[in-house]
Formats: sequence, structure tokens, C-alpha cells
Amino acid sequence: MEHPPPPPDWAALPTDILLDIFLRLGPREVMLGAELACKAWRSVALEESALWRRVGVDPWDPSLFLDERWRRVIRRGLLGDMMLLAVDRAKGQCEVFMGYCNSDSLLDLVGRAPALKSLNMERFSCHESGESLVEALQKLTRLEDLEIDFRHRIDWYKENALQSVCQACPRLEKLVVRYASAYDLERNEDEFQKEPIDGPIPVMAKLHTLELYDCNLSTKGLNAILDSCPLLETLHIGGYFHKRKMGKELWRKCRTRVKNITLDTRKKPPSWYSGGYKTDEFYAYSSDEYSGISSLEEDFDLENDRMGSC
Amino acid sequence: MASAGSGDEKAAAAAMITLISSDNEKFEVTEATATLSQTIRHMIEDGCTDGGVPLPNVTSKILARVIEYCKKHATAAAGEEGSSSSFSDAAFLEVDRAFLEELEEFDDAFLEVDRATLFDLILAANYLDIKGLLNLTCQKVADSVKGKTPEQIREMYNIVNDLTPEEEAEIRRETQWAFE
Repeated sequence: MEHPPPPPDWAALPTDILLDIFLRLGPREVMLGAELACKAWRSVALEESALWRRVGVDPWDPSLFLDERWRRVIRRGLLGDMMLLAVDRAKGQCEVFMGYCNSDSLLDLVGRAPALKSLNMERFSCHESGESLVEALQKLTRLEDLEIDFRHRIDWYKENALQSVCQACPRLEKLVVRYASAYDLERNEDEFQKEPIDGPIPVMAKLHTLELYDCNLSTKGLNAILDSCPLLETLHIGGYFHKRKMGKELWRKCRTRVKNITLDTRKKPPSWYSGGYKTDEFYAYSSDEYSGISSLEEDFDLENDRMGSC
Repeated sequence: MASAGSGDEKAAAAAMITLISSDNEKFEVTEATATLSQTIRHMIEDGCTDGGVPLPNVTSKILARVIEYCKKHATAAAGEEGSSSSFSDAAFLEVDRAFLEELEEFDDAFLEVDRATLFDLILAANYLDIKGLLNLTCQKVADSVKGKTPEQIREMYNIVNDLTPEEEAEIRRETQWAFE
């Protein structure tokens, strides 16, 4: 009879194999389970900074809702601490961060992760003006990809949000901004206070994708975007935009300069309209000018037809 | 052209390599199968495979499984090379897809092993430097650990909690989310 071989010692797996497995698990799984199993596994987690280059939580990940370990983190309000600890373990080399932020925690994050290339802030909140946001973004000199989801409207002292962000990060390749008014839908008077995109923006030499949601774009603002972003390939706008004012020239400029463009917009309703009440005047407009999703071509054809028949 | 092709094939068929497990069992495999292992590929390139390749870290039981994997995937690699040359029509893509599905099924079935075998396969794949097999086995471990508490992981993999009370206390301070 052969002796049964000794049971395998999983704690003694070579470091590069454990690292391979941990990389497949990602920071969240490692922190909630694997790194707490034994000394050897823990030291791989703590010492391999490569494991912590991409820190973030996809809030839509369906497995999170069923994960009791995860629910404990949320229940105790420890998500922020957990993510900062993960960032620290990258020893300054964290490249991707996705999570909740406010102006204070952002400054803290930027200090700990100065090499960020990609930053995605969920429900960003900022007290008073946006200066601290600009100050933090200016420190991220390698940032290529920025996504901000504003929780509240911010009063900007000088420029508007888009101008300030572009000024702070002129090397961005992709910028997605969701302005705050979407969260104020119940408060009728605020629904129409969308962030104006009106003035010039600094030259964004590398920007290929720009998405602005819940903004109030003027033709001047659209012109400025096209003029200042020579490499722009994708442009998505959501919110208010008066397509009828666009004119053939600007339309042609959009078609020739930008490969993918959608204007999921409607004309800004008149200020006397307070929402909630179905007035005849509003519905007289709403048949076409306030209509929602449509392609640029459809919109422009519609405008042309109307102009032709006038 | 045709005769040159068949001549090459004969040469390839003739090139057999003998692998010798830690318990001295000999396995004859084609060069195409053996060279899925980068370690063996380098040995062949250096011309040190005459008289067989001793693999003192791999038992015959595990080596048999590893060869099974390499045979299947070597055919897959050969199939891919063939497909890229002249065929691109839908019928051929359909065959290709079916083959990839079959390969996936093979991999799934291949991973139906106990944890001790999985462990040995990982070490063998690492030692022999067989990328596909290492990916497959590491992913299997990662999937099995996903969603598990530290206690469940220890139980599953027979890991002894060797963290000292001091270390545990420090972890508790640092990672409060990890404890009930």
C-alpha cells in the first residue's frame, strides 16, 4: 500500500501564483476574504502593490446586493476607509479609482494617489464653490479619463464647471460630466436650472470623447467645444439645447468633425412653465421641439422641412 | 508544394519527445504537444532532449493529465493556424465556433478534479510554464474563493489560521469591516 501523499499546503503557494489568483479576484474580494486567511496570503496582499492599481466598486454589480460581507461594510459606513486603504497599498501607484467622493475626501485621495490616470467620482459633493475640486484635479497631472457625477449644483465663482475642469486637466482624453439637476426633479423650479455650457473652453488637445448630461448647451457653447477639441470623435449631450438655432453651418461642422454625435436634448421650456401642470401652451410646443431622443439627422431634416415649408 | 508539405508533416510526426515523470514513468508525446510548455520548448531549442526530459517535480498521475491538456490544445493551435490561411466563409466560421465550444467543454470537464489534484496541476503548469493551463487553474481557484469569508476559505483549502493574536488585533483595527 502506498502512503497517501501529504495534503497540499495552499498557504505555501508560490508568491507569483497567489498574486495571479488575487489579481483575478480584485481588491474588493481580496480585502473581504482571501487576505485574511493566513499570514502567507496576507503578506502577498500587502506587499504586492500591483494588486492595488485599480481600486473601485461598480455600484451596479448585482452580486454585491447578496454579499453579506459587503453589506457589513456599507452598514458600518466603512466603504470610504476601505477604499482609501486599498489606494494606500498601491504605494502611490494607484492608476484607476472609481467611487464616492466629496471635496474633502478627493483632496485626501489625490494626495495618496498622485499617479491616477482614470478617476470616476460617483455623486460628488462639494461645499460652496468648486475651487477645491479644481485644486485637486490640478494635482493629477497624469489624468486621462475623468467622470464626475455631481450630487449638487455648484456655484462657480468665475467660470462654469466645464471651463474649470478643462482648465485644470488640459490633457484629458475622455471627459464625462453628469450635472446635478437630475437629482432635483421633484423640485420643479430647479429642474430648469441646468448647468450652462455657453462660453469658450481651453484647447483640449487630446480629448476624443466628451459627454455632458443635464446641461444647458447654447450654440455658442457647441461651437466652442468643436473649435477647442481638435481630436473629438464622440460627443453626447443630454439636457437643453435649442436645435432650431443651430443652422446649417454648425450642423455641417458637427457632421464633419465628430464621428459619433448624439443630442439627446430638448429646447429649454419658457421660465413661466413650472412643471406639473399640463398647460395648453406647453403641449403646443411639446409635439416636436421638446421631444426627447432623436438623431441629429432626424432633427435637422425636421428643421429643414419646417424651414422649407415656411 | 504538396510534396514539401507532406514531407514537413512526416518530419513533425517523427519528432517525438519522451517525458519522464518523478516516479520514472515515460511518456511519448509529439513535439507540438510538448512545446505548449515553454520550459520544454527551451530545452528542445537548446538540444538537450535526447534520452528523454526528466521532470522531477511532476508525478506520473499529474503528468498524464497535463499531457491530456496539451494534446487537446495543441490540436486547437494547429487548427487555428490552418483556419487563418484561406477560409473565411460563414460555414468555416461555424466549424471554428463549434471547435472553440468543444474546447471550452473540454476545459470545464478537465477542471472537475479534487483540490489536491488542482493544487498539483497549478504547480506543474507553473514549473512547465504552460500559460493556458496556469490561467485555467488559477481562475478556478479565484472563482471558488469569490464571495467567501476568510473562515470559509480556510476550511475549503485546509489553511491553518497562523495569524498571531497581535496581528489579528492589528487587522481588526485596520479592517473593521472584516469582522462580525
